[in-house]
Amino acid sequence: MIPLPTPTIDDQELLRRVASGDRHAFATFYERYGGRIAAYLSSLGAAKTDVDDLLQDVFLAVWDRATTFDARRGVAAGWLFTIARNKWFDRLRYQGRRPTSALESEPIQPPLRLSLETRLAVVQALGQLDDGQRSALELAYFGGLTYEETARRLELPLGTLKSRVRSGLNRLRQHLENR
Amino acid sequence: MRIPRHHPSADLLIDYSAGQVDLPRRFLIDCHLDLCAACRSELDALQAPGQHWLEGVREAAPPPTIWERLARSLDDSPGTTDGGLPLPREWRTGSLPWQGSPRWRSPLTRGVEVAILAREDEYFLVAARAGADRRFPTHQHLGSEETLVLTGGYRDDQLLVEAGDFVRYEAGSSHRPATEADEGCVLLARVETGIRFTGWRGGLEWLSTKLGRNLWPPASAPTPS
Repeated sequence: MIPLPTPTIDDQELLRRVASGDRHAFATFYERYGGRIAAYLSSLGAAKTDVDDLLQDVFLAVWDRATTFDARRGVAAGWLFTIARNKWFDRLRYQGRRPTSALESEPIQPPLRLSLETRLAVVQALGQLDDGQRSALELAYFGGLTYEETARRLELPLGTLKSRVRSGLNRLRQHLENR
Repeated sequence: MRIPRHHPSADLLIDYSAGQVDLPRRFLIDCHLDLCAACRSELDALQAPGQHWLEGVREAAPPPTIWERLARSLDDSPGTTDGGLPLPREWRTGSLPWQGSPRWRSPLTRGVEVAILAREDEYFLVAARAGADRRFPTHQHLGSEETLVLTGGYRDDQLLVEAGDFVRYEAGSSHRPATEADEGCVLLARVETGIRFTGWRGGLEWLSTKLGRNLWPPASAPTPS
């Protein structure tokens, strides 16, 4: 059974406590983000059984790496987002690549239920980008495709795709910082 | 604590934040991040779009069975380890990309040892160590090489590379790193494809390949755990 959560503590303090081995804090962090991470992993294309395994991997990484989270600077959700993506791509690498035909049938927009505020903020931020940058980010930064898969999907050289992701992410970051 | 002077490129940190780097490279960057506040800060900024995205996902109850599995994993975990190397911190056993202690071998040079820890496709995660006042064999990089120094340092024609530093060598480049007179070096490297020795070691390597035995990397290099 999950220990009684402590919902009034912010993420940074929770992770400080997780780093010191506090399982109650870990349980609270899991309660706060477990459902969101599961939904995000599903949106990347993970099957139901894989979502459970990946979720476990993600939160074991949180337990293992909490000591390295810099609470003075870092935002827990961004840190967690990167961990979840790394675990997803690790799974793709070790289970073998998906066939190209399967990739072509997947929707570009991940079927993720976002809050209205986030949808507006992200859509507004993505609206600052050109079409090429936007498609690249939707697939290779928010979505679940590797750089190689995205390049094939968009029929771009790999170098061009990477360049679009990098320039697009820098612009997106600046836009969100200036909000 | 020393502040690193050589860092992963901005592009590499973007790829890392997008989850788009292979395991050997990610391990090197993780070790660098443990030692470099400037890169942690840069990465935090790059993760802002992901943060917005994740915070906006509608809250849902986490799967009920996973917590039980997680708690069991924590109970069953055999603890933490330094992986047999002077890593910036201990890692939970099982989360390192290799198992057991490194298997050191000497690349035909006294006082220098190399161990292949893991491989992913054509990328190798390698550890190397040398005592004070030693020279690594002169070698050419067949693909790119990224290096993170864990302790001590080395010098080559271009750079002085010390603990926490992350440097990249492009395919085709060659160098002969040497440790300082009073300090050795332990480093990790992500090696693409392999290296080619020059000089008499290169001749021996050529002969060895002709006889069906690779000197480096050996055919039996491990895959990630």
